[in-house]
Amino acid sequence: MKFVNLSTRLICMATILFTVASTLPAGLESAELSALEVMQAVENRDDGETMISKLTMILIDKKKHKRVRKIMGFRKDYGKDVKSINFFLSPPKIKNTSFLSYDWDDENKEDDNWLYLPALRKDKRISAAGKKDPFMGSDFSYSDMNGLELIDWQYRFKKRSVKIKGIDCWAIEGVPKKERADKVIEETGYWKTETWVRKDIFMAIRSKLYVVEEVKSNKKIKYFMVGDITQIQGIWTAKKLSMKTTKNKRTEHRTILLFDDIVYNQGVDDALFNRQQMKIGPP
Amino acid sequence: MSKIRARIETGMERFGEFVFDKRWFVIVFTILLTAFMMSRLPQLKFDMSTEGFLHEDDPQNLVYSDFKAQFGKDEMIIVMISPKDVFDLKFLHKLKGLHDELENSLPYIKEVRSLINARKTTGTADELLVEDLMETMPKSEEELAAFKQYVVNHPIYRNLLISEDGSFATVIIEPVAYTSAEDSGEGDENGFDDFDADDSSEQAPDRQVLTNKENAELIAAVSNILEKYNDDSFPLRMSGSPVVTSYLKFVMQGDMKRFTGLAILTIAIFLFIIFRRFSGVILPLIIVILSVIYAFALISIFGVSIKIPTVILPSFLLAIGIGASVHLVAMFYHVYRGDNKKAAIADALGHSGLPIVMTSLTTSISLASFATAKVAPIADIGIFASLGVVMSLALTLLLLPSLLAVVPIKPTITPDQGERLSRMDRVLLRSCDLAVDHPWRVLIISGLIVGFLSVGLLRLEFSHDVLRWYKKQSAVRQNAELIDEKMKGSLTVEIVIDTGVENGLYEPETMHKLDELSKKISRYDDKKGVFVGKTMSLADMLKEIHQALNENRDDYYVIPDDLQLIAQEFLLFENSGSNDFEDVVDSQFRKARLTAKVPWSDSVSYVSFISSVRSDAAETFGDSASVTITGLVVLLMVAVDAMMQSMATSYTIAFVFITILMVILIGDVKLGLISMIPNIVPIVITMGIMGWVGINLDMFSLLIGSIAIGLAVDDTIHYLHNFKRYYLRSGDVREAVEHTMMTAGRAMLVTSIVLTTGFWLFMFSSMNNLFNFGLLTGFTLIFAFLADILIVPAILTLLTKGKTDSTVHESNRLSTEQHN
Repeated sequence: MKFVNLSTRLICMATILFTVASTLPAGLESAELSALEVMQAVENRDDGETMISKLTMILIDKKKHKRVRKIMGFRKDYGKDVKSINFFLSPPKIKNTSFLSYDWDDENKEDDNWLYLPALRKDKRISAAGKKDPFMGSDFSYSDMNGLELIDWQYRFKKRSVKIKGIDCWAIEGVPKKERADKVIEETGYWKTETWVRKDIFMAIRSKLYVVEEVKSNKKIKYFMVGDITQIQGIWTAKKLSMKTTKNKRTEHRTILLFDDIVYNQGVDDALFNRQQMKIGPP
Repeated sequence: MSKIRARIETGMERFGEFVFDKRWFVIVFTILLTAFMMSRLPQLKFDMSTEGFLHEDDPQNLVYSDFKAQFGKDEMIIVMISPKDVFDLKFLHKLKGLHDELENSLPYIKEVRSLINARKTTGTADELLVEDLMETMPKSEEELAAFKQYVVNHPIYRNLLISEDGSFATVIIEPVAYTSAEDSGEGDENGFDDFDADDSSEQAPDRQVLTNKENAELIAAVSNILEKYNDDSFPLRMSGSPVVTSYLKFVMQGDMKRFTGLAILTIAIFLFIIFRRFSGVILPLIIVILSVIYAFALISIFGVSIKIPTVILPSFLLAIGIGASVHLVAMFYHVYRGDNKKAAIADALGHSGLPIVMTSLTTSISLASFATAKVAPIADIGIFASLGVVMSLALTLLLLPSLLAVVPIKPTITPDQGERLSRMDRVLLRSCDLAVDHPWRVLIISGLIVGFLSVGLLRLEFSHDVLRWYKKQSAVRQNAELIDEKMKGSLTVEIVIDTGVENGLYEPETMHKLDELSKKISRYDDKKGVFVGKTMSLADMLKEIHQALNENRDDYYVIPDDLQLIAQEFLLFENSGSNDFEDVVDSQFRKARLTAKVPWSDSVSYVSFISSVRSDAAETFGDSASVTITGLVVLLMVAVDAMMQSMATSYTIAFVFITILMVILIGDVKLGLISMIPNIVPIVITMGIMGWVGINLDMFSLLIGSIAIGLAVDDTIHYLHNFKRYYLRSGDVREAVEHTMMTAGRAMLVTSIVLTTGFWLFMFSSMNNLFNFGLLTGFTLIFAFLADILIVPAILTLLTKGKTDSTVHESNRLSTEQHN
């Protein structure tokens, strides 16, 4: 009888332990994660193989004047490469303008960005050197849209726990690795970043980006924030993105992106992502 | 009238006794007051900006602020390099070094522009490239030649970053228009606060215009860097409006210190010559120096900034205030016999108190007449000089007698003093005789002189030529003139075209009009110094983009005629990484900026230019857009206009008030009016001479009239006051005139000499405008003195001819006996 009780108890304990272990939330494991691993997790977070969305882009200048553009966007991941095509729906003067982008993971391959101007009946390549340049005149640069190359950066925890809007986050500081500093600054224009990542869903919800300026006495900082976070088709999505550019603590310009009608992982044809499609328009 | 006068004089005597009794109280109170006033001095602010010429709420200033908020500052620091050859590898490398160092180490700047980072817009079949002109430095002679070819063929660089003949290159430094609060460090999370609001409420740090100190810091920093690079093969010069105005402040401050020192010294010397005693020098000086301190303390307390014209205030107050003290002190020495100071003080105040009050009031009023001037610094001088005179009066009536009471003083016994003055006396008496014996001759000759000279008044022209205030040999002026010549201007006139609707600038018609207006304006040349060296606007950028998108073909350097195309070309440009649009258009594409480059010239010359621009704009745009013209040059021009208006109003006010006062003082309307003649004559003479000789009426000479009236009136008042007294006593004009000369006349001569010398000190200035001002004011005061000793007795003689009434004589003698 004793023997039976013991083994039963052992089996019970083992079962309990096993069950508990397998249901441990990722967060508990994360107590061991390094800053770099956090950032990798952020990058690797599922954002859908493909995505279709309607995007409203609001550009706000320092006098609070707004310009609104409506865009329909298609994205498809090809392993680590990303292709996307965006069609302007409004305002009427730039309707049917479209923007095609190939973001190659291989850092030796230059990204391809094309802008089609219907009035010109031609598409033009956007200079590759302009990765840190503004996307569509907004506060988001191309490198903002495509994400930073993690291997270029050195990350450390600024704070291992900080509450933002009641949710526990990491505060991570990043600086370019010394041997890659020139390239990083050339490409992204940042000499330092601070990122706040939600521990529960590994989403970067805030960033403070320190921009290199030619005129050293101008301190330029960009503030990135997300909001309206929900799950769509099981994928954590931020439906509102904001990027604010400040110079010497004065807001110079701000861009707000509002995503709607988001559809993930559903029939996005490869044929969309080429120069011909730019002229045809959205499917 | 004489009864009232007698009563006032008695009242003054009582007052003198009162002050004597309370002398220690007065002295202690003054010490405390002085301590307080001096504590306010360190807070004095300087403002040598051009915006400071107009009041803060002047509509022109507001338009200018709006412009700067949108497009940034229009004032640039221009560094010009004159190598043997701009298109030389060594030179270009050194230029890059200079450019980079400026970008890296200068404070308070928005941007640095030169051939290094000038915009180069080119297109290939596939691509629109917007990059820095010297993104990569040319490495070989072929690359250099290609580079040269490109620069020469593209007009956007010419007369901006490189001269027309290609021998001068510039680096243009744009200062920030506003500074914000100090960066509190990276630990602030405030950047994230406004996420949920769609509009972020206005930021906490306050906008502050770049202060003089910061401007000077910037210029000094540039200067230091230039020194490192300057050599025979890389000769450097710096100019631009920030530089010119900054040195202006530097020079003016230096001048101010120098003149104040010299003025005090000169006055001290004269006082010593006249009075031959220590107390005679120190006491009056204390009074006037205190009045200057108080005046500046008041300026500080009221938060007013010291502007360029304010620089004349100290020596001005010193010279003006000294007269009252001198009169009182002279009278005191005259009556003090060594025994009863109280009586002597009372007596002195009785005799001189009333005229001193009167002269101070008239001077104060004539200065206050400028308080309503549209030109802010003139208004400031008006107010504070006026207050300074009032305080000087108070000090003369209260502190001076107290000090006289307390300080040990030797009574007058000096016969040799009398002998010394007798030479002076002889001259004075001779002039008396001339006026009394030949009144008509004196008047007619004076009338002819005045008549002739007053024709010169018609030839007077207004002028406000800041650059030419500097002497010809000054480096600041020479650099500015050279840059103006080689780069076709270093100042700008800014024209803002507001279409009134978002994306209004997408309209081809509007862009064509913008281009047309640019072309019209660029043709202006009045052949007298004002011309347009270059125009720059969004239209030029659009042509640039259009050309690049069409294989860089020259025939595509035009405005496209398709609205969609324009909108999309702009979009493409925005995506190509350049933020150059910010400089020429607002983010709504509603307002466009058209910049016209012009050289330094007299502000008056710009008046025609601006009105020409206005009519061109009206012709081109009509009702389709509203056009505003602003910029530094416009402000300068408006300041001149304001000056002219101020002058007319202020002189009229001063004249009216003083005439009324004179009538009251003299107690006789006819006589009062006539007494204004010797006050006006000196001004007419001086201005007439200016007109004939070709000296222009500027901000400073404008002040001459007001100063001269105030001071000339002082002399007249003293003269008439004493004349009346002696005439009533003797009934004889000649005797009265002579007696007046011996008493008031002497004091008048002395104060005139002191004042004239005081103003002539300004001739030591390094600035032309102050030199002229000093010279002319000094002469005006001499004329005023002469008018008083010649014209006044002549008129009086004529008026009283045949009135030598024995009855009057008798009754007066009786009353005189009673009085004594």
